[in-house]
Amino acid sequence: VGRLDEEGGAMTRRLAVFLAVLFLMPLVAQAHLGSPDVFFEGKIGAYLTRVTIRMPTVVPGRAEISVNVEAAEAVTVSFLPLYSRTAISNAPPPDVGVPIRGETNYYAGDLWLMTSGAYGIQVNIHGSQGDGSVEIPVTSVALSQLPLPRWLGGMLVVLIGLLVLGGAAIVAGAARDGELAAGVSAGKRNRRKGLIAGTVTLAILVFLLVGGMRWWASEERAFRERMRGGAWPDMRLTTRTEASQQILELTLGEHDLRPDDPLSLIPDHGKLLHLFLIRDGEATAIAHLHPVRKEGKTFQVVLPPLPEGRYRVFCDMTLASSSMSFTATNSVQIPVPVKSMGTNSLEPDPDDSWANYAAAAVPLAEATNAVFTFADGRRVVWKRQLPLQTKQEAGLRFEVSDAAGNAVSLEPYMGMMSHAAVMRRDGTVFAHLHPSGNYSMAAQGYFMDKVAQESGAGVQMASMAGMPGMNGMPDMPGMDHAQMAQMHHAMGGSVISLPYEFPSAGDYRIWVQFKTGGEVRTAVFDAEVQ
Amino acid sequence: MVSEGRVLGRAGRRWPISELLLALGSTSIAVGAIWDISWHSTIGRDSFWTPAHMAIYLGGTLGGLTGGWLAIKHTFFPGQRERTGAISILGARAPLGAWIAIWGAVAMLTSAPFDNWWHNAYGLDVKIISPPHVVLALGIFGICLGAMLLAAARQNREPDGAGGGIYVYTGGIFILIGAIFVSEYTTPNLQHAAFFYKVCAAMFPLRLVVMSRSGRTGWPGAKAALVYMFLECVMLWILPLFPAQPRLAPIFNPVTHMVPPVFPLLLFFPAMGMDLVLRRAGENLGFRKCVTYSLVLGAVFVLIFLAAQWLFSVFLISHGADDWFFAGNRFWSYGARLSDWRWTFWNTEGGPGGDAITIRAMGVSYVLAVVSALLGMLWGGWMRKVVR
Repeated sequence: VGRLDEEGGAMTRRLAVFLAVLFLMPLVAQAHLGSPDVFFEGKIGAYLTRVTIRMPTVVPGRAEISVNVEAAEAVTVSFLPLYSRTAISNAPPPDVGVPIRGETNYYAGDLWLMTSGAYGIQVNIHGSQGDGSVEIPVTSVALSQLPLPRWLGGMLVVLIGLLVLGGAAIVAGAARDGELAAGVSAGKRNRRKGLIAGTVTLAILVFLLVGGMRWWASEERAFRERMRGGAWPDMRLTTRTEASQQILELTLGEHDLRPDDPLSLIPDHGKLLHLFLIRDGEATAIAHLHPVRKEGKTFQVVLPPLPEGRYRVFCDMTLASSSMSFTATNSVQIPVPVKSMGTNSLEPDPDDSWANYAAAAVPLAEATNAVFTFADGRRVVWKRQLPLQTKQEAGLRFEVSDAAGNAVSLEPYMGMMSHAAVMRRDGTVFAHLHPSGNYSMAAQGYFMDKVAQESGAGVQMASMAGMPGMNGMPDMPGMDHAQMAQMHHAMGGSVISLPYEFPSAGDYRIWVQFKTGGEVRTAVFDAEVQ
Repeated sequence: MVSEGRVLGRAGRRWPISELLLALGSTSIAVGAIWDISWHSTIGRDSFWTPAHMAIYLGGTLGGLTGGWLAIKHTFFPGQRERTGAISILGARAPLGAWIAIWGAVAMLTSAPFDNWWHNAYGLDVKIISPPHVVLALGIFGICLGAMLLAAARQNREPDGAGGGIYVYTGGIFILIGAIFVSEYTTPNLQHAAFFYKVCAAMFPLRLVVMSRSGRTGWPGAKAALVYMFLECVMLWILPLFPAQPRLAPIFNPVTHMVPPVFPLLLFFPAMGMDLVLRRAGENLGFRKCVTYSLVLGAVFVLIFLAAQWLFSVFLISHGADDWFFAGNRFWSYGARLSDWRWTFWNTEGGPGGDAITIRAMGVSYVLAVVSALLGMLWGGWMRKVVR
């Protein structure tokens, strides 16, 4: 860079600073709370299938999909991204998955996600046991800023330097010698002409370079404004006491949403919002609550008896307008409960659950056979392969047994055999998992409805999330076969399996919630991910 | 000006391989660029390895290698003319056209990894005009300019103007590249609104005047305009012969074949007028004379171009042009939601926010055309004289 200093040195120094900033730029924002990849496990038609969708960090971008089918014979796998706002008839033909070399029934491909918004990734399987398809919802948003690799930055500086100096030298040569016949040498006048032309060109090129640099910087700013990498939208939290109840009030999107935006949400498992409160520090208290709308963008929920302290709050929601799902986050101080006389006005949600345990109760992260024991002797065992690796199947498979060691029969909790929360201890990663995957069931319902309506097949099918049957009834009329198959795969028995990969290295805590004997339980585990 | 260059040229008349290779390279780039736009309008999915991109990079490679070969030849294995009739930079020698083609190839080379990173960082081709694409466009410009200069220098050296044909051809490519660059603004439906005329008045007089001023054949500007129109027509006629299917959602217009460019602008007519004006302009013109000519040339361009496009676009958006030759209103991108707007002119309303053709708007077009023509006069005057 220093070579350019003869002309507009200050400008080139600014270029150097700009490039240096690009090199050193960290990932400034985290994906959908640090966990952008989407996992699905369940039956597609007759085939037990595991799907992994690795989301791009930019829009438009290409997601990578891999589909692992448990089948003895070869099947045909195809996939197609369906955009929420366009008719399925406007979609291109599906792409056929390419078999991964050396693997059986393991297919891969690219998904072209061209717009910001919600996509339903339709995965189709065709085989001798019949056909099946499922829609897996993903949210396409710009997530993070990709740093400029050093080698590329270095190469750019060298090549652009060459272009600037070379361009000036060529123009100087052209002005000096261009009109001279062969054999005629440039005189003093021509040399002077060349020098002037070269200098002027150099000045113009440096000027263009600085203009280009500023342009790049403005594109960078525009990109950052579009980025939805972290939590979204903003969330304001307050607590108040009413009669014998402590109430948590949350207001969503005061800054990020337009004032007239009604914040229409699609219910997920029959709830508009899923709120997780996790106590700071040792994180020994957790609550999974379901606030109801008070007015506009303000929601409220009765707080369960949690110990006082500062809590991280994560709030999952799916927008009705686009079926995009987001997580808002903030923290709140929960005071010591003050009881007073009066009539309680707000009903707690029957599916609200919470847990409070001693820090020592959490099994060590180093244990291969991690056991969480409840006060009544019931146990949850996580047999795991250590070390846990980033972007590798985490093996979240939990066996529930009673005090005597006998398997316990699990009951559905909000339509699922389990709800689990994963948080990196620093709060930069948060994910809400189910046995079928880590996506929004509400968004999946949206796409299933869309497919049914637009193909004219499932007229009687209601939105899955809005159905009363979702709250604990194993028999759910109105569900399509793919969905039923997924559910059946997960139902019954005493084993909870959650498809997931940890997105980054670090210390994680996992809360596994399930229902047995009519009671919701929460087991806690630590995980150290390399 | 008079010297052994001519003598040797007469004695050693041979196939102008390097001129032809550079002309071929710039053709490959122009064809690739039109093909690429067609690819984006038809298939949608883009990767580094599309045939359209390969055509562009083939052109760049051809330009860079030809330029490099000329530099090696002139520096290390020179004949008499090559030793004394080249441009020397830091001891290395090559014809000016070769140097510029090398520069263009380096710029194209620079843009490739930069563009790739850009897609990963900010998304796949969100906008056509992005910093890496501008670097690429500069490289393309370099290759085309190199081809022009190599041909111009030969034409100017040869006593009988031999090589003038290649020069006019490379000038046609130069006009074509400019037309591709502004193609977003030149859809026939836009040709009754003012912005179209402003864009064309800025873009084309320069190119036509350069050719008209420096070509050494009869009617050089008009011939170069014909080259442009012919190449664009060839693409218009050939591309729709190939079946293709959109691969990106949303598809509102399920095309079945490659979507070609629209029928070329009728630049031949203003170019004829400009050739007529410059017919007897003479070898050396002072700045004042250049300005005077530009004032006339700007008016000639705007008036003839307005008349031609105004009438022709009425035909092009009508059902009457819906045939293979004119392909009027026939091919639209897969993303277009076709409705009655295809049969109307756009942005023709007056008032704020509108873009009606007013006296003021045409005045602006005229000023742009004069400035563009003046630059063409100055540059074309120099192109007449370059011999190395």
